[in-house]
Order: sequence, then C-alpha cells, then structure tokens
Amino acid sequence: MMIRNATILASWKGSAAMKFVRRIVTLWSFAVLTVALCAQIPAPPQFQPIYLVGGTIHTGDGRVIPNGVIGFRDGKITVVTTRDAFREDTAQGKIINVEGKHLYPGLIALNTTLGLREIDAVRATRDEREVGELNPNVRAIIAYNVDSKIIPTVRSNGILLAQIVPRGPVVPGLSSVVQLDGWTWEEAAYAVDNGLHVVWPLASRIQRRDHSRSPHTKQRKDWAQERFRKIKKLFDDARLYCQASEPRQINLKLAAVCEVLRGRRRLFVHTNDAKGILSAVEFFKAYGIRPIIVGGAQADRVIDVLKRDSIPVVVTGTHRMPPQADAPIDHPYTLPATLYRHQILFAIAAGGTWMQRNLPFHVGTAIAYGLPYEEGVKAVTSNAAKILGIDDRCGMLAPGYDATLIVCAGDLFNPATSIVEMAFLQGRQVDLTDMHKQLYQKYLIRYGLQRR
Amino acid sequence: MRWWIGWILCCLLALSVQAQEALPTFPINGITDNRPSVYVLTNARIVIAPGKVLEQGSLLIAKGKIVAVGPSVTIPPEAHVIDVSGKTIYPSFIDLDSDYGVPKPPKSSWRWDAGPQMESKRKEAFGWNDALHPERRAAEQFVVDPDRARRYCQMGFGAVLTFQHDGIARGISALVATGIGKANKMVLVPEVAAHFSFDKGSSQQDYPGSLMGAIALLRQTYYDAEWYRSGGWKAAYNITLDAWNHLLKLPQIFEVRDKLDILRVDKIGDEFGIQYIIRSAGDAYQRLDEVKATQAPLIVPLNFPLPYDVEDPFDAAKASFVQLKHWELAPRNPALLHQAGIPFALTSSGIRSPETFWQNLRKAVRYGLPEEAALAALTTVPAKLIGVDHLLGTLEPGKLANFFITDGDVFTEDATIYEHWVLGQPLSFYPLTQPSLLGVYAFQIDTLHWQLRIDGSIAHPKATVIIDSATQIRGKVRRKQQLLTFRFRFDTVWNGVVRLSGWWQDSLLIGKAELPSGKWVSWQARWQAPIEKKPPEADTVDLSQLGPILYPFAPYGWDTLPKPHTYLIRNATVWTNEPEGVLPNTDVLIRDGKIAAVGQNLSAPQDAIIIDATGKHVTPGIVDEHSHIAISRGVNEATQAVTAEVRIGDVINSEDVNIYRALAGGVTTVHLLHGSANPIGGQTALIKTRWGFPPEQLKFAGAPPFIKFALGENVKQSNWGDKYTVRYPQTRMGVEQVFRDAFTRALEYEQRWKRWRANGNSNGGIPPRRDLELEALLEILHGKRFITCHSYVQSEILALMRVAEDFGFRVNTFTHVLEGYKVAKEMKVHGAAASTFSDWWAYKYEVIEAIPYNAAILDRVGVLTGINSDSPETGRRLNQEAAKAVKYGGLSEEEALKLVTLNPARMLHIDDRVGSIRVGKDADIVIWSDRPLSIYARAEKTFVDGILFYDLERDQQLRQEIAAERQRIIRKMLEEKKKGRPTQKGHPAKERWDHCLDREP
Repeated sequence: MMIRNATILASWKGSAAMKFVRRIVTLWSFAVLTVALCAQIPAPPQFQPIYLVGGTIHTGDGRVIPNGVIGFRDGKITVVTTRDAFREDTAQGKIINVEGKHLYPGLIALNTTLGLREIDAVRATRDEREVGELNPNVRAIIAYNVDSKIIPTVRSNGILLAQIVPRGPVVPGLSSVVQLDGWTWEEAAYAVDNGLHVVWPLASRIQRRDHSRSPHTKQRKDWAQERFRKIKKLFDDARLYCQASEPRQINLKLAAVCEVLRGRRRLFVHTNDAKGILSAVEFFKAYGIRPIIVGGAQADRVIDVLKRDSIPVVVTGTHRMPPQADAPIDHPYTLPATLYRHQILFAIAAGGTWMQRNLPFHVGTAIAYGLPYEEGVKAVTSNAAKILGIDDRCGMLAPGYDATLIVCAGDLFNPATSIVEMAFLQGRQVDLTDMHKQLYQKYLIRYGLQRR
Repeated sequence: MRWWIGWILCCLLALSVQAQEALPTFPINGITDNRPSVYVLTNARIVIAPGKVLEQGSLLIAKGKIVAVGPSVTIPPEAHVIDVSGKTIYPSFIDLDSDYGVPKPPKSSWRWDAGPQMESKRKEAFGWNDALHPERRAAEQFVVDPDRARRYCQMGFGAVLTFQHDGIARGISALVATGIGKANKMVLVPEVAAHFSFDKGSSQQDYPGSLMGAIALLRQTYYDAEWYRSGGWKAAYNITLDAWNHLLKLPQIFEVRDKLDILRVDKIGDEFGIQYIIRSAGDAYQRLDEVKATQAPLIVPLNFPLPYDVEDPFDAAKASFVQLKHWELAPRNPALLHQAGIPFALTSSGIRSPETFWQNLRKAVRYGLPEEAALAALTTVPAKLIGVDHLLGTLEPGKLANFFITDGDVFTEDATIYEHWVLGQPLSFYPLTQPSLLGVYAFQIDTLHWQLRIDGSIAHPKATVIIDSATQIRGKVRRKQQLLTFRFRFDTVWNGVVRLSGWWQDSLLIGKAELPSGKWVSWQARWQAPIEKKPPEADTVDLSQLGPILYPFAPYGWDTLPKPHTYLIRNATVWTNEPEGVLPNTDVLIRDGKIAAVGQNLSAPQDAIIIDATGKHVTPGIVDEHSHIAISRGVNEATQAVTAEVRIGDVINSEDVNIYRALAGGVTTVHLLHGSANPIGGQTALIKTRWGFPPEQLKFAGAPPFIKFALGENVKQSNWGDKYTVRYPQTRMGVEQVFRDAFTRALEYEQRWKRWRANGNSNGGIPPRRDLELEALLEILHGKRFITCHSYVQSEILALMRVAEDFGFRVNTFTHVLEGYKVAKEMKVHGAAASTFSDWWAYKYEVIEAIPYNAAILDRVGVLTGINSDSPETGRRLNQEAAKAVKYGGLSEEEALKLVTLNPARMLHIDDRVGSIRVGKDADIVIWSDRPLSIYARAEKTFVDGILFYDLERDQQLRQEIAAERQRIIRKMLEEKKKGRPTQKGHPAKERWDHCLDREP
C-alpha cells in the first residue's frame, strides 16, 4: 500500500499535473496580494528625479521628439529634449528606459460626471443633479468621490485630470478640475470652481425631453422662452449685484454669477444646435463674456461666428450619430478636423463616467478622419488645458510644467496598442491597477490561464 | 334686425322639407303633406360615368332616385323642369374614409409614468383586449351634422363610409349620404365593411405596446375567432369574438401609417385568406412594385403635405430630406398608382376645406393622373370596392339621385359647384339661374375709359381695373342677387378708395360711384369678351423636373437598385478567418454573389470589374449579433412577461438610414432583436444590409429562427420607476419560475392537441385554442428555435442553463453576458455561446463587476464568443470594439476579428454562408483602408452577396447630390411661400436610437 502510494507520489512529482497545480498556487498567492489591496493607494510625492529615456515624446503643443528624454524633479518637468542633446547629471535620479514607447501629457477629460455618479441606474449613487433650474452656486467639487471605483479604470487608460461638471436643465452649477489621484477631494482639486455651466434653452431640445407631455409646439417654445428669460434675469440681477459695493443681502446665486462677470470664472454653454450657439454667443457678448461651447455638434455651421469671436468648442465626442439622417454619415468624425482647418480652439471630450476611458479612441477616430496626429494630442491635452485656464501648469511636456504624463506601449489612440504602462501626476507615479484588472486576475486563476 | 327673419324662413323651409320626407312608423304632428318630388334637369352636359359623357341631355329623378337619363326623356306632368344649359352634372363622389357624424373616440390619457394596466377595465362580456371593438356599429352611432354635410357636398361627396377611428379592430362602418335630413334616411347601408388599424387608439391597456404586438394581437384574434366558431363559444360567451366572426363576411378595410404597413397588412391577409382594402398613407409610390404585388386595392388620401417654411436656413435644416422629397412627390402618388395599374379610391380624409380638396384633386391631375381615372377613383371604384355599385357611382337609372351641378369641367381651376343633390334633394351653394359676371368689360367711370376684368370663379369673382398694361388695380367685388358692389383704391387718380354700386342690365353693368372727395359719378361696363381660360404659368408641372424616387426613400437611397457583378479584388491582404490565416498579396474573385476564388494572380474573367486593392485589407463582412436598427415602431413588447408571439420579422424597416451607416462600418449581417423588457421577448429577425431592398428581401433566407430572452434588472423592472412594481416577476427568483411555467404550459399545450387529434370529442367538444405564444415556446423545446438571452450576472446565467437542461434543450447564446467570465467553464460545458460588449459597465447595479476582459477570458476558455453593438452608433465601428479585446486580454488581431465575424456567424448557425473568406461562401466582403482592427481603418467598399452596396467614393458623390437635391426643393418651397401658400414648420422625425438597455425603447 505504502509503496503504491509512494509510486503515485513519485509519478505525481514533476508531472505536468503537478506543475499545473503549482502554477495555480503561485498565481493565487500573487492574486491574494493584489486583490487584497482592493483599492489603489494614492501615490506619495516624488522623492527623486526621474528620467524617462528613449521614448517618442508627444509634447502636447504639436511637436514630436523621437528618441527623447524627459526629466522631472519635485513634480515639475526639468528637461524635455532628444537623447543626443541630453546633458543633465542623472546621478541622483532614477532612469527608466522607455525605448519604443510613446509619451504624452496626461489626458484631460472635459465635461464629465466622474466621481459624481457611480452607477447610472442607482439613484443613491447619483450626485450630479440638484433640484431646481438655477443652481449657479452648487459646487461639484465637494461631492467628488475620490474613491469611485470608476476612476482607476479611467486613469489606467491615460486620463489624469478631469473637469467635474454638475448637470441640470438650465444652470447646473460650478465645475472644478481634479487630478485623478488623491486621498480627499481637497487633495485631488486642481482648479476649484473655475467654470460656471449654462444649458442653452432651445425649442428643439426641450421638445425632445417633454415630448410626451406637451402636444403643442407653441407651448414647447414658450418653455424655452421661459428658460431664456430666467437666464437673462439671473445675469442682469447679478450685474447689479456685483456693481453694488456692499450688497444689502448676501445672495449665493448672484455672487456665483458675479465671478463670471468679473472674468474670474469661465462660462461653459452647453448646446449642440447651430442656432443655439449663435444666440448664446450674441447673448453673452452683451455681458462681455466669451463663452466656451460644450457639445457643438453643429459647430461647423457657424464657423464664421466662432472664428470672429474666438469662441472655443468642447466637442463632446466623435463616437456620436450624425445630427440628421441626411447629414454626412461621418459628420461627427470629421468635426474636429473641420474646426482645426478653420483654426478654432477646440478640445475633444467623451460622455458620461465610465466611458471616459474611451477618450483616446474618440481622438483616434478624429485622426482617422483628417485631424493631424499631434493636433489630436492637443485636443485632449494643451487645448483642453487652455479651455480650462490651467495651461500655465499642465497640458504640455515642457520644462516648468507639472510632470503629469503617461507612457504608452504604442499608439495611445488606437485601441489595439493603447496600453498605458506608466503614469505620473506631478511626478508621483500613479498606481495603474484597477478593479477590472483585479477581477481579470482573479478569474484567470479560476481557469488556470496565464495573463497575456 | 332682418337676419333673424331670414333664419325663421330657413327653419320653416327645413320643416316643410321634413314634412315631405315623413318616415314610415313615425307619427306626424300636423297635416299629411306628401309631394311627388319629381325633377327633370334639362340641356345639361351629363357625366353619366367616368369616360361616358352625354353632351346634351336630361336627367329625370323621382323619389330620390334616377329614373331616366338620355338625350331626351319623357317629362312627367308632375315634374319640376330645371333648365341647366351650359352646365355639367357629375355623379356624386364617395369617400371611403370618414368619421362623419360618429362620436370622436375618447382621448387616450395614457401616460408613461402612470403605471401599468395589464388587464381590461371593461366589465361587460368583451374579449380581453381593449383595443378591439369589432362589435361597434357606426350605423348605431350616426347623427347628421349639417355643417360637415355641406362641406362634403362642396367637395363633391354625396356619400361617405363612416366609422369611429378607434382601436385595432374598429367595428363596422355605415355608408351614409351627406344630405340634410333624418339620420334614418341618410344611412344608405348600415353594415358595409370591417375596419382595422395597427393603432390601439383610446385603449389604455398596455398590450400591445408595439407595432409587432398589434400584429400579433390581430393574428391571435383571428385564430381565437376561428376557435370560438368551432366550439369555443361553448366555453364562455365573448362579445368580441362573436362580433369578429360576424364581420368576417364583409369587405375588410385596413388603415395604415406608411407604405411598409401595406406589405405587413397583406401578409396578415395571406395567412387568413383575406384580401384587405388598404387605406394607405399617400406614400405608396415609394415602394410601388411591392405594393402592387399585394394586389390590394388602396384608398389613397389627397391631403398632400404643405411646403415647409424654409426661409430661415437653420429651420430649413430641420425639415428632413425625406420630408422635402415627399412634399415634392406626394401629388404624383395617384398618377403613379394609376400607371402601375393598382386599383384605388381617393379620399378627402385629413382635408378640412373644400378649396384644398379641389386644389389637391386638380394637382393630382396636373401631376399625371388622367381625369377619367380621378373621377373613377371618386365614384365607380369606391362604389365597387364596398359593393354598392348598384346604388352609387354613376348616373344610371335606378341609382340614387346623388349628383352635383357645375359650370363646367370640374378639373379646371375656379370651377364652381352650383348645387349638390343628395337623395334627390338639392343643396344650393350658388344660384343656378344667376348669370356669370366673368368677362372683360369696357369700363367707363366719370369721363375716364379703362378696361375691367372680372375673373376667378363664378361664386368668388375677382375684379381688376386695367388702366394700362403697367397699371392694374385689383379691387373687391361683392354680389347680392342683382346688386353689385365694387371697391377700388385709385391712389394715382383720385387719391383714395372709390366705391361703386350698380346692377346688371343685359350685357351692361351700370351704376353710380362715390369718389374719395365725396362726389358722385356714373359708371358703366360693357361686356366685351369672355375670360380666356389658361392655366396660370406657375401651376404647370414639368414632370421630368421632379426629383427621382429613391430606394429606400431615404437619404443615400438608390435611383435604381444595384445588381451583382463579377469583381476581382487584386493584391490585397486577405484576412480569411480560415486555417490559412492572413494572406498577403492575394486576389479574391466574386461571382454570382459568391466567393468564387481566393489566391494569388487569379486570372480575371472577361466580365470582371477589377479592383486594385494594393495596400488594402480584405475581411469577411461584420456580423452584428445584437442590434435594434431597422425596426418600425417599437423594439419591445414590454407589456407582458411572456410575448413569444411577437415577431421582429413583421416590422423590419427597410428605410432606416442606419442600415447604410452599418454598411459604412463594414457590417453585412445584422441580428435584429426584440428588447429586453420581459423574460421571454419576441422572435428575432436576421437581415443582411441589402440597403434599398424591401423588408422581405433583407431577410437572411434559410437562417434558423431565434427568440430573445432576458434576465435581470430589465425584466424585473428595477429601473422603471416606483410605479412599475406589480408585474410578475420582480425578482430573479420569479424570472426563473416564469421560464419553468412557460415551458410547462407549452408542453401541456402540445399534449392537449395530441389528445384532441387522437380523440376529437374530448373536453365537451371544445377544441384546443391555437396559441401563437406557446407554439413559439414549443419550437424552442423541439430545438427548432434558438434562444439569445440578455443576461448579466453569473447567478441568472447559471439558472437559465439549468432550466434549459431540465427541459432538454440548450441556451444557444447569452447576449451581453457581462459576468460570463465568472461562469465561462459552466457555459462551455452547457454549450452556450457568449455575445458581449467590449467594455461597457457601471450603468446599472448588475454590471458593477463587468470587465472589459470578459470577451478575452470567454474566448480563451473555449466559449464561442462574439462582440455585438446593441447600438447603431457602436454598430458602425464594431471593428474598433473587437480591437479592444487585443488591448484588454491580449487576443491576437485574428482572434479579435473573429469576435465580430466568424464567431457570431457560428452562433447564428450561418457560418456555412458567411463569416470567413472561403470559396463558395456568400460574397459578403469588406475592403478596408488599413488593418481592419485599426481605428484608422475605413471601410472603402462593402459587398453583400456580391453586390457593392457601399462605396466610399459613391458616398462622397451622394453627399453632394443630397445637398443639391435639398437646395433644389428648398428653392421650390421658397417660391411657394412667395406665392402666399401656407407652409408648415419642419420637425425632423426624431431618429429613434433603440437600445435594449433603455426602459422605453
């Protein structure tokens, strides 16, 4: 009996089956370690200079440096140059070889509810829409949930900054810019309350929303008019309010608008409609405000006005349907190239929360349809930074700028090669694991598969 | 003061008419006053029937009927003789679509947030569905409405088919005369036709919630009625089924919303041996061949669309291309139907004013409808369609005395109807005897000599003073019996308004005028010549200038449908999906719709079109396993937990531009699914993207049938709002039981039929009822129908597989299946395929552990795996979605390409036809500009069955054509507006982007 067992044991040892089991055990113990960590830990501040050497650097201002070097210290970029021209003393620093890889500034996601909304269909997890039509005073930043499970999945695709925007029917509130890493929202905050958002009232838009309730076109139009009047009154009252040296009574709403009138806060107008863009631009001209158009599906029809008044446009995605059945079927794909050709300042955004991780591919499609590659880079880096007013600090890879950048295995905008291997936020190396990678790991174990 | 005297006289007159019409069985309050009512109209031009005209003759009528008609008739002594020389008598028109005199249906107060109403609220012994009213009889509801009767008479209609337009089965119509009198007299035929539609009308019951549901309800009710007839009545009394059987013997009239509905209706008719008469929507010309093939007679509306207000270019953009095109071509519809030899009647339905009716009728004639055919479509054809040609339609002896008298050809502009006689009683619009004012006159006022021109119609003359060719002053003219009043504004001569008053004296108009100064002068106008009738220039139509009819009638449609050719694609990188893998520098020969050869340096057949594909990539066409494009009016029959009876195949929308957009993304086969609102949804349809072909020809012939199932939050209505908490099931536990119950019922159903067939007289002679829902479920149990099941979490995936195993079948496909990666092993053992999204998650609780590595894990474990779109947006770039499986999970590009080509073809059991590039397979082929999974790749050419359906170059050309066509029609509309014609605002028909995740599709 013993002998037989021993034989079995011997044959078992070194057999394929045993190797298999051993592999499983190794995989499991590794997985327990990573899965047990569960959440991603915010990175500590940069403690040593880092040099990324040998990669193709897309600087974010239209230039490409093949076989380049980028160095950063204390969170700021110190050098961006070609390998040949690189002279800095690297003794104190850490050198990372990134040959064959592509470097980009960290992508900036505009117009998102990331961190405000966790599960679309579960009301308790939705924090982006306050009651009422006029909420210029509500602040998205304080509801921003740094521990959202969605954020790491977005970050691991190269998006390192985001504009967190509240939603609503008329004036949803104030947006802020955050870094997608940090222990608290205060730590994550990058530019606080720097944008006020207005949803431009439009007969056709409201028609769509209230379609079932209002059978008469006229009534629908009045609705739009009503909202328009509300916006006008808000801005008129705010103008008076901030002219007064000492307001008689503090009004949070008017005070919030004042900051826009004083030029200290940007105004984002959400509209896709050509007529809406025209009327919004004209309307705010009277207040000395140059709005930023968010949406802009039909921006190509009002190019002249956009150009004349230097109105920037946030194109909310290229993966959209054409605006009408008879529109060119690639209309949303070509829109960025059209805006570029006419020298309109524009950025590309993606919709929603989790879909932010597809932001690079919206750019890829724009490139496929005529946008020059480096202009595509700009559309999610320096142009976005300009639109947000943070272009003095980020959006570009140049000395003095934040060391906020990513290293990608290949072309970031092409899904098959878009594998982000490293990310730095102000020099801190960000954890690129996420819940999805962890679940992937977990179930590879179930099936005894190797990670590819 | 005087007007009320007139009124009293009128009323007295009306009373006296009534006295003459005394009805049998009705008591008379007063003295009997029966009069003969015999009339002879002499010296008339009589249109006896379309194409049969008596240039000079008489018409004798008595007691409401025509007694004689001919060049001369014997005039009985008691007859009133009316001389109508110079005038024309037409037989009255018949309108087959009217709700004249019947009550308006109650408005549906349905609201999406009101909560469900699953059962009928009626307490009487009706059938189960509130949208069926076969028992309604218009004859019992009809009352005379004098205002509308007059309007109908002014349009030429003497009889209309009326019924309440409410619901899917609308009951029985009555043919009523449009005279003024007792309703008893006006009802000519109390039971004429049975009426149907796909619109549930005032019913607030949930079912049917979609077009396919309406079709299923109709089909099931026909079977139910058959069952009721053959013994079901013994089980329980049912008003609805009883009435349904009663109306089967009548002509069946079906009202539809568009041309595709015509084909749908005909298909129902074929199943039950019924040839419907179809009340069409005026767009039948857009699918003329298919409409003709139905052999259905049509009722065709004359309410052509108004031009759109296109002055503001941004608003102009809101009028869709289809709306613009249809506006231009709609008046051509009757002419095209006539040319195609399709029998049709015209209806005034939708038109309120008689002027518009006549304008549109004349427009139809100007657009090519022969006058005789137009007349027939208003008289003999409708009479024959409803079997009343012995009563109406022509002016032959024995028929009803329904006719109208005009000043001439009714198809010329400004023709005037003097009188309309209904049942031998005249309704007068303009005095017969009064002479016409129309003509050119020598006009003298004070000392000045000018010309006066009076034109327009006899009833509504218009006056113009012609001072010289440059100066013409339009004035107002009013006429009361012999007195005339004119008003002219002579600014240049007298600096103000001149009022003329006068009378008719032989061929002289004569009278006094007051000048602005207050001075009175004399005037006169001597008749010189008649008005030369010429059609105004603007209204002549050059038919050759009309835009083409497109197939489909949509942007990017074809003038003529494309045909297969022999193509040789040269020197491409060919991704075969076969063991050969990716072949560089390879040729592909397409012939007779199939892949004829794959290899290097193939010799080109003589007739081959050679395509140089150097540097390009060739792949099989993309197969989208889960899509909701190209579906008409409702993706979900969301109303009941089990709706296996509804069929997407009934509601394929060949006109959806998303088919074209899919082609542009290299998609050649699309599985159209029912939504996911209920555990057992509807039967699916598999189509090829044969853009331009009619619905039936889009279908993938020979593909095995599927049905949609669904699990989880959608079917338990988790995200439907607080009102939706009553429909069973509300939990995953209940969902599982719904399946077990449904399959158990299906098996019992089968047993019932077996027993009945073995021993016919069991169950008290009541046969089993044919049940379309259970029959579809039986097909599943017998392996003749496959399931594709919307699913998310692992528990429910396992549960359904176990239910299937217990009932002895296999779940073919789990679609979405975002937690498939957790049970990949179990799925593999069961043999289920997985059709998933690339990277969707976080949109609801059940997808909280969805990961983008799902496809890769499933594929590597050995589950047959695909990636689908479930969205028209994603559906046009599925190659990019497949590429994400390279990024997430490290599949090779070849493996990833199979996720959207060969693998879905295999799960649909069509891989012997499509999914790879192999000799003998269908030539469904895409030529890409780059590696097919690259985001930079564009489909340059897409072939389906060897037909080049999408070509990037042609697309560029079509864009320009569309823009030019828009501009051309917009210019035409601007002219219309300049002429002062009414316009409407453009509202683009909202594109519905159906998505099975949505509660409201």
